[in-house]
Amino acid sequence: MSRFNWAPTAYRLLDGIFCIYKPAGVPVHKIIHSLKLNLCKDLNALPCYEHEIVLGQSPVKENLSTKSVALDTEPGGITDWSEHRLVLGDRYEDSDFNIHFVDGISKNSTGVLVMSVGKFGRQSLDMIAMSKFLRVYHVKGRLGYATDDFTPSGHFIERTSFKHVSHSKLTRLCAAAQAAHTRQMYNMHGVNPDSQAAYEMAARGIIRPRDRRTMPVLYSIKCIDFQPPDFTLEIHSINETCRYFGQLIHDLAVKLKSTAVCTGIRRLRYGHFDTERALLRQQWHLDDIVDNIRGNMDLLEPDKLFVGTGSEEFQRLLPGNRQDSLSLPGVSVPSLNESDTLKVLPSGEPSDGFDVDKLDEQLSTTASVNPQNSSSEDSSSIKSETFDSLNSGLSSGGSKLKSENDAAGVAVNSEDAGLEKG
Amino acid sequence: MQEIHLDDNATSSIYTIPGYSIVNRLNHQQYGLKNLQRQFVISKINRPARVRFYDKQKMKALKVACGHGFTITSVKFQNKKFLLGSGINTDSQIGYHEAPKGSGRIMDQLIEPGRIRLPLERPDNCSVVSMACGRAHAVFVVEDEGVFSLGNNAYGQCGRSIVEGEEYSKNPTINRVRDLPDDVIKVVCGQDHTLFLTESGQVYSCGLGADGQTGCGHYKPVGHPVQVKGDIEGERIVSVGSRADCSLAVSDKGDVFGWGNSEYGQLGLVTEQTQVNTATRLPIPQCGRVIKAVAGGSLCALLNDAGQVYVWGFGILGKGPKLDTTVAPSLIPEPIFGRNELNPDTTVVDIDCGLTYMAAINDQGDLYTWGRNARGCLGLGEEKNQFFPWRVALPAQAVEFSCGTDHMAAICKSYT
Repeated sequence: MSRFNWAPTAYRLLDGIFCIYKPAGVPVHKIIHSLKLNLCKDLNALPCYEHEIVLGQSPVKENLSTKSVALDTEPGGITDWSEHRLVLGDRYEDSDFNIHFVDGISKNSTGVLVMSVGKFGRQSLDMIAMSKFLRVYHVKGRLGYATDDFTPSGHFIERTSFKHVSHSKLTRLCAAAQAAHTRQMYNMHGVNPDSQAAYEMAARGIIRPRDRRTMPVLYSIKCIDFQPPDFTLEIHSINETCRYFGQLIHDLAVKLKSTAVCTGIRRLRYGHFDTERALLRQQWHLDDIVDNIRGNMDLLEPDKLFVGTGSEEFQRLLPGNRQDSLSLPGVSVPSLNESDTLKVLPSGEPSDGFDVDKLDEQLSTTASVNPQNSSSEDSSSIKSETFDSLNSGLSSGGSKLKSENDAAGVAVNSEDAGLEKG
Repeated sequence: MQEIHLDDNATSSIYTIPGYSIVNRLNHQQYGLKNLQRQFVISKINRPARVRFYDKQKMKALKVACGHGFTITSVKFQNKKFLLGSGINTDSQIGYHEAPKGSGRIMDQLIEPGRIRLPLERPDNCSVVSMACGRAHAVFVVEDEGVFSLGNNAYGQCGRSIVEGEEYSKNPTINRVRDLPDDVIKVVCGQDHTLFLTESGQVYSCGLGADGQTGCGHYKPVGHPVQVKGDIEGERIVSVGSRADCSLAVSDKGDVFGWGNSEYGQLGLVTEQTQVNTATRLPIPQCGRVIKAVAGGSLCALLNDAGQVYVWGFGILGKGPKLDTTVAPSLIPEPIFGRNELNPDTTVVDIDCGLTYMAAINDQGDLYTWGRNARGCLGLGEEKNQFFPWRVALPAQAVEFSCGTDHMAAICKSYT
C-alpha cells in the first residue's frame, strides 16, 4: 500500500536520480520498460481524479503551497463528469515517464546502474555523465578456453592448458597493466609526466579522460581471487565497456600463455553510488523509487559531482536547487523579469489534469522570452540562431548540451541549462 | 632498484602462509643468481621484483632494512626467528661468512641471503625490535638481549671505541653496545652515525659528528652512545629519523627537533649556519601534530596525524620540477596519495626516505615513490627522475618498506 493518496503529487516527486541493481540476463531497455510499467501501475492504483478523493481527506491540504487547486471554494460534489476514470481511463501510461540511464552495462552483467526520471533528473544525469565517476567492477574469468565473443556462450575457438598459470604471475601482470594505463593517461592529455603541469594535474586528483568517448582507462587492477580455472579481478576504471573487459581477460590470459573467457561482470560502485543505495528488483516501485530519489539528492552537490580535472568549467551549470537555478554565479545576472517569468513555472504546473505537453508549451513560450534578455547581455557568444538552438536543445536534451560544449562555450550552456530546468 | 615480488614457479607455496608474501631486496651488483649455464646476472632492475629465496625456503619476512648496497631481513622460519643479510659485505656489515667452511674464503659479497649470527643466548629466537643500516654498518635491537652492531667503526658508529687502523673487511667482530639503557626500542642509522631511542623518550647517539649530526654539542666523532643535548632534553621523543647527516626527532606533543647538517636549508628555519650541533626545536605550527619525520641527504619530510606529508629542503621534493628548494615545510596535496571519490578518507600511514628520494604508503597499501631515480631505485619501470609521488606497480599490498641508497625493499601482503 502506497503512502501517497493523490497520484499527481507522487508523479511530481518522480524527478531526479535513482539507482538500481541490475540483475543479470535482462537488457537495460527491458528494465526501463518494466520500471515504467511498475510506476504506471502504482500511480494508477492511487486516486487520480477528483471524484476519487476520499471525503474528509482533501487534496487541498497538500496542494496549499502550489495554490492552484481551487477545490476549497467548492468542496462538495463533482459536477464535471468529463474528468472521470470511466471517461478518460487510466491517468498515467508508460510514455509519461522519461527514464534514462548513464553508462549502461551489457545484458549479462549485473550491478549498480544510475538512472534518471523527469527533466531535472535528466539534467542531473548529464552532470553525472560529465563528472566521469570512477567505477568499481568485479570481473570474473575462467581459464582454459577461448570463444569468439569472450563470453562462455560464444562459439568455441580453442582449448588450452592453464596448469602453469600461478597467482603471482597473474598479479604481476595486473600490476604491469595498471602501471601502463597510468602512464598512458598523461600521454592522452598530451602532458609530459616530468613537467609542472603533470604535477598540477595529479594534485587535483586522479587524471580523468577529457571526454566520455575515449578509450577505456584502468586505474587499478587487482587479482582478488584465484582458484584455477576461475579468477576474479577488481578493476577501477572510466570509460570502459563490458566488451572491453572481455577483451582484457582474453589479453591477460594470452600473456600468460593460456586463454580465458569472461564469465561475469559485476559493478559494485559508480562513483558515490554504491550497492547500499541500489534498489533491488522487488523494490522497483513507486515508494522506493521516490525515497531513493530523495536520498540521492545529497550526491548532486558541487563537491560530489565535480571531482577531478576539468571540473571548474562545469561548476556554473550546477543546479543549486530547482528554484534557485537561475541565480548561478557564472551566468551574468538574470534580470528581474527573467527570473519572474521562470519562477512562475514550478507553481504553474497544473495540479489537476496535469499534462506533459502543456508543460512543454509553457516552456517554449518562456524560451521565447529568454533570448532577448540574454542576447543583450551576452551578444558576443550567443548569435541570432541561438533561439533555434535553444529550442532544439530543449527537445534533444543533454546531447545538445554536450555537443555545444566546445563550440559556444559555457555561456550558451548555462542558458540552456536554465531553460531546461524550468 | 627495487624490491621484488614475484616468484616464477610459485606453486602456491607462499600463499599457503596466510598473509604475507615477501618482497625484498636486491642491490645493484647482485640480484645474483648462481653462475650456472644459461643464467645471467641481473645487475639492476627498475621495477618491483619478488625475491624468490623466501618463498622457496618458506620463510616469512618480519622486518627489512636497506643500507648502502646491502639488505638485512628478520625472518621467521618454522618456530625459529633469525636474521639474514645479503649484498655488499666489504666491512663485515652483514657478518662473517666463510664458504666453504674452513677454507678461509671469506665472502665480501653475498648474492643470496646468508644468516647473520649474533652472539645471543638463544640464537634461534632472535626477535628483533628494530634494526637499521648505515653506509657500512648495521645495528640490531634484539628483545631481551640488547643492542648489537656490525661493520665499520671508523667513526664510532658501532658504539665502541675507535681503534686506529682497524681492518673491517673479513672481521668477525660483533659488538654488543653498552652504555645504553635497557629499554631501547628503536635504532636509526645515518651514513656514519647511529641514533638510539628509548621507550622513555630519550635519544642517544654515536658516530661521526662532523656536521653535528650526533647532537652532543661538538663536531668530534663519538665512540660511545651519549645523550643528545639541546631543546630535546626533558621531552618525550617518539620518533627519530636520519638517513645521511641531518637528524630529526619528534616528541609526543608533535614537536619536531633537528640537528646536524643544514647546508640545504633542512634546518633553515632556525639557523643561518650550515651546521647545528645540538637539538633545536623547529617552529612549524602549520604542520599540525607531527608523528614522524625523516631526513635524507638534502631533503626532509614529515607526516602528521592527519596523514598529510610535508616536505622541505633541496632536491626533488615531490611538488613538481618548479619547487626544488624550500626552507618551510610544504604540503604535498592529498589527492596525489590516492584520495579520490572511492576512497575519500585515504591517508598516508608511513614515510621513509633514501638519500635523494622518498617513499610513502597509504592505508590501502599502495606504495608511492618520488625523487632522483638512481639506478631505477624508485621501481617505476624506468630510470627517469620522478617529480611527484607516483604509485609503484606492486602486485600486492605493501606492509613495511625500507629505503636504501639506491635500492628499496618492501614486505607485502597478497590482496586475497
